[in-house]
Amino acid sequence: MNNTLFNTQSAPHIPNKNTVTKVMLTVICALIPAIMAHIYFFGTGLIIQILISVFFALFFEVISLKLLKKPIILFIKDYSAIVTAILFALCISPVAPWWISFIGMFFAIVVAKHLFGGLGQNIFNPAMLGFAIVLISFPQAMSVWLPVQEISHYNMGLLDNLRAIFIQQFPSSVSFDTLTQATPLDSIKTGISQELSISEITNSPVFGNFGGLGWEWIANFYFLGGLFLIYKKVISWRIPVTILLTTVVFSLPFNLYNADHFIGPIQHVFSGGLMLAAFFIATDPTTCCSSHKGLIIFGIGVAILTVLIREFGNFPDGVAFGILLMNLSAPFIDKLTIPQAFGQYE
Amino acid sequence: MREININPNQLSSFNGGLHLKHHKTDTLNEPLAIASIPDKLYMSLRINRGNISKPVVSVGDIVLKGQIIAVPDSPNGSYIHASSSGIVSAITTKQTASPDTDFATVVIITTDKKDQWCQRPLIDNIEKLNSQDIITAIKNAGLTGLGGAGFPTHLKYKSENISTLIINGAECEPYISCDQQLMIDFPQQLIDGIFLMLKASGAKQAIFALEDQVGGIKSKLEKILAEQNINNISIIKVPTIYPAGGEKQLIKVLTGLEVPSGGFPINLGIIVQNVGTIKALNDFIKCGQPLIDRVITVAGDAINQPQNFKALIGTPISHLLELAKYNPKNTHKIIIGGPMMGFAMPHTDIGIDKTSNCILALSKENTQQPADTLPCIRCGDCVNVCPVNLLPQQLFWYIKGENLEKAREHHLFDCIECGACAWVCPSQIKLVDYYRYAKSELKYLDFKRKKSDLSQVRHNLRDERLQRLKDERIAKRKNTKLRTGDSAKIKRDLQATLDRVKNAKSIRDNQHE
Amino acid sequence: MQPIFSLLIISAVALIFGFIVMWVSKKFRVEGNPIVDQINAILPQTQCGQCDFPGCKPYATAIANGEVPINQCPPGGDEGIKQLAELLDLEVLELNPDNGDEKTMDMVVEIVEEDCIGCTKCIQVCPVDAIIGAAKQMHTVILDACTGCDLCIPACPVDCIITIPAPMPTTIQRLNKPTLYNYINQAQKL
Repeated sequence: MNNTLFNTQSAPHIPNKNTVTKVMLTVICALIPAIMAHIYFFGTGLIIQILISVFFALFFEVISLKLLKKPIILFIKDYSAIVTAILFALCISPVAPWWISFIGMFFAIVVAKHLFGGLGQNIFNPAMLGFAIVLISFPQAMSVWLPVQEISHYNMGLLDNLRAIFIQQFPSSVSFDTLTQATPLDSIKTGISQELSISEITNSPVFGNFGGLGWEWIANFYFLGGLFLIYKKVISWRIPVTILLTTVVFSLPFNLYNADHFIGPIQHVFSGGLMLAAFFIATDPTTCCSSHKGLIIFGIGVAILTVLIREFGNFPDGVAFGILLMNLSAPFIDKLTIPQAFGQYE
Repeated sequence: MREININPNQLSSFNGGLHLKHHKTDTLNEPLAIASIPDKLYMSLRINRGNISKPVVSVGDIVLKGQIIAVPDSPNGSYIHASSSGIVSAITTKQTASPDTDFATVVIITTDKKDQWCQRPLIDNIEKLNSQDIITAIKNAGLTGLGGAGFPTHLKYKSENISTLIINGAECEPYISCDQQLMIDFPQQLIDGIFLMLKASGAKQAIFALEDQVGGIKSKLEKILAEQNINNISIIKVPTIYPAGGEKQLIKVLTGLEVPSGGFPINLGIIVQNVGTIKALNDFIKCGQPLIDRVITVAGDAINQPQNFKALIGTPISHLLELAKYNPKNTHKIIIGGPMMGFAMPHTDIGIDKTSNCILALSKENTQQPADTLPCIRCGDCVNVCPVNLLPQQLFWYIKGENLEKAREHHLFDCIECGACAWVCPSQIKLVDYYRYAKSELKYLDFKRKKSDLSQVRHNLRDERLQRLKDERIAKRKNTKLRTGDSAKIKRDLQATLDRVKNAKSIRDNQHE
Repeated sequence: MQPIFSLLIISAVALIFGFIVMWVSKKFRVEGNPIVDQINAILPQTQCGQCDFPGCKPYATAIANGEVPINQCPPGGDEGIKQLAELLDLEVLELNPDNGDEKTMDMVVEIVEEDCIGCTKCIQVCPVDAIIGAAKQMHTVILDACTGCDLCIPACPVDCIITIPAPMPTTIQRLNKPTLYNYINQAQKL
């Protein structure tokens, strides 16, 4: 009789070849078109920012894993830190000083991720927490943005970007004011505080056809990447769809009530980080809700908070805060939206 | 009784599910083979979880084919018949081809290869059988659900309000093709069997559910139905989505109704029967053959001749693997059941039982995990595939943190352990293991809770009793006191006695002087 | 004058609110389970006395009065302590080793009937009346009612009581908790 011992690992016996690494790589791939567009409009600064952020992210990841005595290679290979770093780099200005990335990544990786237990255990989206911290702490450095290259008087080359990022030295041939430009949402905020009407503000060259100049195209590419993720079933359609719909529906009444003072729905969607957030950040599965109903509530919450902060808050863009606040409430939403199991009808 | 109307063009669906590669053509291309009688039969007496029948033979007995060797010990038990003739060489506790390879009593029969039948209970007047006769026959044939859980079939027919009989020919798991083989080879027997089942249940209609990926069977069956002018059996193809063959899922797909949580199909007036069970009933009524053999698929990438076998219950896995020319060097895992819900066997010296529908021998490449287990990233893929609308990642979260009551609140006990969540998990977490652990632990904790409640009641009763006895004692003492009169009189009497003693003493003293 | 006024007003307001609070607390009082019963429901009801109290209820009463810590119940084990801590909003403590260790397996006692002399001593100490028998008659344990408190073992003059694993319905099979991060565990050992 044959008494060889076989492997008795439990079912499923033919595993799916899906892995966390693949999920993360898909996200990175989906970001590539938007990154290209970003570089086209704002120059090579983003590449440097991504490289710096990835470097710091991996640096903090290795240190944290080492201190927590977790296997380093296994967790580096999941690429989650790299995704965090890229998302963070996409949020900050292409010429933000290098230490912005350093501080942002410290809070993202060490505080938001590893202090809460590492991969999959975090309450807050690491990239958004890091971004919110630097946004609150260094508003000056964060608000310096570049104009779109086609309307700019001076296009910063790779060397100029490097110097700006690492030693905060901008080219001296042109004045600082012509070199830099506020973001569209920032311009609106300042414009409104100077009692200009929205239509007056959006007449400025910062704005394009329906959103911020350049921004609208980057948003379109985020949208494309997001569709790819939905097609690949990496994210569910629920959060992006509810965020975009709610933003439009919720901002419309304000805009109709006083179109001079409140930003229009299209502007809301296409200028600023809403598209990035809707497809890539709010959908971070670790920090959003788990049930289908919960995801929809989550999306609605993010959109409402974003619009409220943009319209009434002090910050030009409120997506980061909206997402962080909804991250906080996700466990409660989950508790209230436990789905009815099969056969659990009354 | 609820009327159940089914529109084959408008089937319902359940949430989630998986589209898996079915791997069934290899075995279906080969004809059904009859497995030879092995040297030894390992007759497992395990019926289902917690029910092991009682052996009625002893070591050294000569048994004949079809002879009863074990009788039910509990209402959920069933008869077990010897699959072939021979001598009972041992009755021991051994691993069986069951979930977790549970240990159970196994009767080992050394066969004499003569395959000698015992007296078969032949029924003359099949037409005249009434419902009760058939149910008794089901019980005597030792029929249990051949699909999976091994629930004794006769227990399903207790209710009077049965409107529909669903015949489950949908095998949702990859590789397993034994039911399809049965439908290809024995369509007439199946139709006859369905008539018997209809009679036993009192149901008006029968629905024969097939998977849409198998061709030819539906037309074959429909031809027979048309020839014999039968119109209360309808044949419906259901989409091949794992786990559409689970009985609750199948009912949902066919009727749009959900079996209530914790309930059975009978609550909807439905009985679901596997095609194998139907065939076995027909065999017993027509030829007097109890459930002693079944069709079993032997497949997998370590098998050179994947095939369906008609094998005796109790045939060792090793015997069937050799018949199918397996490659021992290449075999990494031996699985009883399908690749999604089956259980890996530690060795091949185990006999198949009534519920074993498939033996899979898989190579290392095919079973290999692509990566190491990572923490859950809550991606929600499991939520999307769960056929019973659970939140697998939340359940996992609570179970990992030993918060089992919370898992119960999240409907842990509705989990059907189909393994869809574990299959899609990008972190390679064996989620079903966690759910099975939590279910077993919760059942245990409930048992303990019940026991501790009982202890509390008994302790309180004892305290009451002791208090009562104490009160009675005090009352009794009081009573005695009352009988002896009041204390003043006792004191006076005592004083009088003392005085008398004193007086006597003084008189004695005086006399001395 | 003004400070006196403000003093009076504030006092009046305080008084009014005080009354409102009183009224609300009376009106909407939740007739909950008394805390002793809630604690008692968590205790395992073995009535073993290892907590230095004569039974579970007295220990529950003592916990409710804040006289003793919650870590004196070995049969309840760490799980019980966790539940008590949650109920009473206290810190989770380690089980006090003075009270005994948590058993890894559920045990009950059985009387070796050949050796029993029928002295009824065990019957008298059994807290749940799980032993039946009479003087000079052989005793036996109702296994399903025995809590495994072991109080009868020292009471037996002929040491004829032994512990055996508790009988369990066959439908209950405890499985081991799966281990998740094999790699993490290995790495942490290094």
